[in-house]
Amino acid sequence: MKRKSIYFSAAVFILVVLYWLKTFSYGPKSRLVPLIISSAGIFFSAVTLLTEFSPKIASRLEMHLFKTGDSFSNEPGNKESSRNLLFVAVWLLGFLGLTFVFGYFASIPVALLFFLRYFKKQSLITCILTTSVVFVFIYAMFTMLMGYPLFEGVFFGGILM
Amino acid sequence: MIEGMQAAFLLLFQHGNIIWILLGTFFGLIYGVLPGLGGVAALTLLLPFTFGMGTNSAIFLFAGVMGAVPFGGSISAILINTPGTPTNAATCLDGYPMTQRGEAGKALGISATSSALGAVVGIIILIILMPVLRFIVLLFGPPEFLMLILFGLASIIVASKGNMVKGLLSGAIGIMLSFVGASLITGMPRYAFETNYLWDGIKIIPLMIGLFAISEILTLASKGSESIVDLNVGKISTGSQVFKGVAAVFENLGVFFRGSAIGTLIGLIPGVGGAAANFISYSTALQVSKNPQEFGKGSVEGVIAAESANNAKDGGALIPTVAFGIPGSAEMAVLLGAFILHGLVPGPALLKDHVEIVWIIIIALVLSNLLAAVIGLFFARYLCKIALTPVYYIIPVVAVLCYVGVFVMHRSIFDVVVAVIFGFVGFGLRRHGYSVITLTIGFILGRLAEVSFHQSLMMGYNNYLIFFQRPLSLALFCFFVIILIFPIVRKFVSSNKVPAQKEIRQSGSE
Repeated sequence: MKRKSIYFSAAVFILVVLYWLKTFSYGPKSRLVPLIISSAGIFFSAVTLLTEFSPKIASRLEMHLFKTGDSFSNEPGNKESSRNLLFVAVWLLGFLGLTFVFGYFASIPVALLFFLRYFKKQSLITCILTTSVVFVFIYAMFTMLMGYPLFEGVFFGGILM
Repeated sequence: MIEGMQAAFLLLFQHGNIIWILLGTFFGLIYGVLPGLGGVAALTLLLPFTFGMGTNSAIFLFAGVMGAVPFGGSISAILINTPGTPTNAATCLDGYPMTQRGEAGKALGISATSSALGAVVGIIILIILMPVLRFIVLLFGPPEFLMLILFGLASIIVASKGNMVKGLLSGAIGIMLSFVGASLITGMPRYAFETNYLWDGIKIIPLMIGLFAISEILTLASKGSESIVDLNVGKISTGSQVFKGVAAVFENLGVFFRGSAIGTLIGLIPGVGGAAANFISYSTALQVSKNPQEFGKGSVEGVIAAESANNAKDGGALIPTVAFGIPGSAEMAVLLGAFILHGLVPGPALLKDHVEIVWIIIIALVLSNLLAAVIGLFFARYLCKIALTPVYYIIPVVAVLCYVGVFVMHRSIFDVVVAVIFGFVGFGLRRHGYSVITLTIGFILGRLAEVSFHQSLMMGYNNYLIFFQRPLSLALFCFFVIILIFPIVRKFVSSNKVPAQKEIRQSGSE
């Protein structure tokens, strides 16, 4: 019984129940199919939550009709892996926040330089060179060749759509 | 018909039209490779530029783009688990695991060959069916369409592995997410929380990029590996593997022809879309394969099924587009716009008065698919090197491409926010044993199933028997039940065989 898995399955169960409750606020035709599917979803998520508490039930539900391979398997990592994961997760969110506020032209160089410099401690020249190549490629490909204007950021008057 | 073909071939060598196909192929490949873009974006961008061009040259250019985009999308799906276009999502399932075990070259070889030949098969089916097009398209009403979708949704059960309930739950969540936005039947917004953004529903590109690419970035970081390829596999993809991939398609001709036929069939039904064709073909291959245990681990059959259907669907989608003026896919809708821009009226009159235009599209589609495959095969050995690039370069570059690619399609920064949210959701699901594959299948087919369910009921005056009263619908339903029961029966038979064999061995030794 893994505590993190229990929390995750509980969160899924709560979200599915909220979805199911929301379904009742729509007209009969609009809610028919969502109601059927979300009811099934509640059943599946309740059973899933139950299996998180009871490994015996979980092993009974290990049905392999085809024994298909799982390309997404992910073993719990060591301390180094956890640090890497935390770094990348925070970096992705920071990159998104920076793009939202200051736009792509500011966020791409800053985010790239920061990542290369602090994730694997690359030399400053490598960082600047890689950042420049990626930035020029993005600008040439998307803005110059394809003519797509990139988001300018809310700080510089970028329009939210 | 023959005169139309001759006229189209003559036009191919006039006014440098072949150059337009080359340009279209190159343009289509770039648009396919870059995440988030795709055929619609490429054609929309080119549309105003073709205003001053001759009609035939413009059609050559458009068809060139349409032929190359699907293969371009498979390159990023195979190498970095990022579907270049939504129609390449199923290619990620086995193409990327092949890259991880050092067989990127083989996967690219399979993709290039099955893409090009799949398109040719789709076109041949189109040519054969041309005289009876109207009859075939009219056979497929909403009940038949629903049965086809149910067939695709059945793959959720098949693709659920490990804890089967988690697989089914993921599929249900995918279907539930597809209902977000205004109902296509009643127009009532559902689960939109009074926001304009969610009125249109969750867009497929941010969802796919999030679930596949951004969650893969997080997975790569958490694994702490040096590169995408597991360096312990002992063999790394080389140029010779590319030709092994080409040979693999010819060794699995049954899978290839089945995928192409499914792609053409799905393509000819307006509104279904290529992503559905991909997944239905993939799930069929999985259900009837002799080696289903290989699927999801880097199955050759999985890549062939997904890619052959992906390119064959264009031949199918051309049928309703030219015969009735009903676009068979989003790309075909833009092509219809191009027809009108150049003074052509799609529909029966086009087939009668301008049959050479149909042949121009056919010739250009075949040529651009073959050209894209040749370019792909030539560059495959160099592209494989991407899989050996250290992850500390891959992560930031892929993230930048995803953020920009997701934004440019609809110019909405909220699309990027949605992609990041689904990136974290996808990572969480994968980490806790839920299936991202079944969620994606549910999302793609869920809304289509709801619409055709309601349309069928409207057709039958709310009589549920409509699904069993129409011969083709009933036949498809029976086929769906057989396919659903087949693996269970096979599993039962094989589990009975093993003890029987043991008994024979024991009695033999006695």
